[in-house]
Amino acid sequence: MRNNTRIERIVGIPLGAGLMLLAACAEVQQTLEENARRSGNPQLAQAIKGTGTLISGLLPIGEEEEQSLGTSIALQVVARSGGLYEQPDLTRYVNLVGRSVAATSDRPNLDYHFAVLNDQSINAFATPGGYVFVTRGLLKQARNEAELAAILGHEIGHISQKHMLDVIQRTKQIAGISQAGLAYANQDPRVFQKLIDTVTKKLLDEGYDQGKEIEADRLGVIFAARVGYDATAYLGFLNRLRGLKGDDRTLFKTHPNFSARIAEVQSVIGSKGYASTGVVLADRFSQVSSKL
Amino acid sequence: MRSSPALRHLKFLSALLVAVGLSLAVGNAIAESVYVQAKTAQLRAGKTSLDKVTANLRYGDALEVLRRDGTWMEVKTDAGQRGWIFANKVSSTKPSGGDSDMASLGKSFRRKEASDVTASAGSRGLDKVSEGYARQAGITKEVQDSVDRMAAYRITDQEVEEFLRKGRLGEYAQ
Repeated sequence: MRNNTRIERIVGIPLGAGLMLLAACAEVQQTLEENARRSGNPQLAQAIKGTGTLISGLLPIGEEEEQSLGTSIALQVVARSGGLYEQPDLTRYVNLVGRSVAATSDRPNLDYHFAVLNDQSINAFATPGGYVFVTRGLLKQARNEAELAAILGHEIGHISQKHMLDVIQRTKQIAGISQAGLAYANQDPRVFQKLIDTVTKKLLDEGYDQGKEIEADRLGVIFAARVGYDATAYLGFLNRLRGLKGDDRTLFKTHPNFSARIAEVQSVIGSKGYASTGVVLADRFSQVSSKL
Repeated sequence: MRSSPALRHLKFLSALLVAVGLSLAVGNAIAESVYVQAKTAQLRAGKTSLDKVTANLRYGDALEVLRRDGTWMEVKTDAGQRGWIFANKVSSTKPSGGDSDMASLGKSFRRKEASDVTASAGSRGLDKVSEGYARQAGITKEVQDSVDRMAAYRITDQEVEEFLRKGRLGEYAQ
């Protein structure tokens, strides 16, 4: 922590000064653009606007944009997964477990939403902006609340680390979208549609690279343990799935094989010194999972 | 050879400055800071969930660690208030919060466009951009309504706390 503070001091001053300078540039750019327009020089105004657009296109996606992108991807997830399974008690329970885990995640201030997909395959998804989906098939394989907490924690990990936003940023660059934020969504809805369709395909059919999945597994265990759940419960879930079909990739197809995931989870449990506490809340889980 | 009074004063001042500097450095080295790493957290009068809540803390609040006892920490807030907090609700690294500085900067460059296209369409969960996408992509009304209900689904922080308490999780563990 001391080292971090020192690094922040060393790097923070020039970075902070740079950001202030760039922020000032944003204000100057808008003033210049308005002045050029008022003085009857639309070409100059457009050129100034283009400069700002180019700079902003290189900057990370903000929460406002993230929300719209995430909601649009969520629409595709539901459309392609047979709709939602909206059993009131189950929906409330999944949201309570999910919100408990999200509250101690690395991004607790986001507005998270959890839902069950009416799909018998075993999978779970997260989209930017806090949307988390689990399939009925996956919930049928879980045995207790601690397992569910780690499963939801894995998806919250994808959101907290902005894994999908990285994919979107790269996809935008490849597609040559240099415009700022969501402006292009209004100007050319077909470009926006293509972007959403491409990243949804990545999410549902191809999956993230293995490094991101492994990172999400680590975070899922950590977030669930912070709430107080037994961190070793997730091992039980992963072992059960491996027992079903070995390392067959058609099961949980968008994720790395189970042996690699189990090894990683064991590693994080060991490095964090998590002991088996027995807090798994199997009874509370079974009362609700009977409604699946 | 004896030094002049002026030189003696200079030596004394130098020694005093070094001493003050050292004491400040030692003080800094001993003080440990942590940050609230949860959406909400309670500062309590004692180290159990049954003890009185003396302050409600927010994500990112800085706390000085006074001592540790099992899964609890006695801390002091920036305002000087002392109390106990469940250790799983703090982190030794400062949380980054919502938009990063760079993302906020991006928003300042594109603020007009963003506010135009993301304004809420009303009480619905979908915003204008996702509604436009739904139309363009031929997403059915049924699916739109499902995501709308999902986005609009609300659970309060108090309900989450009650859920944790009933499950004897976190600071409610026995």
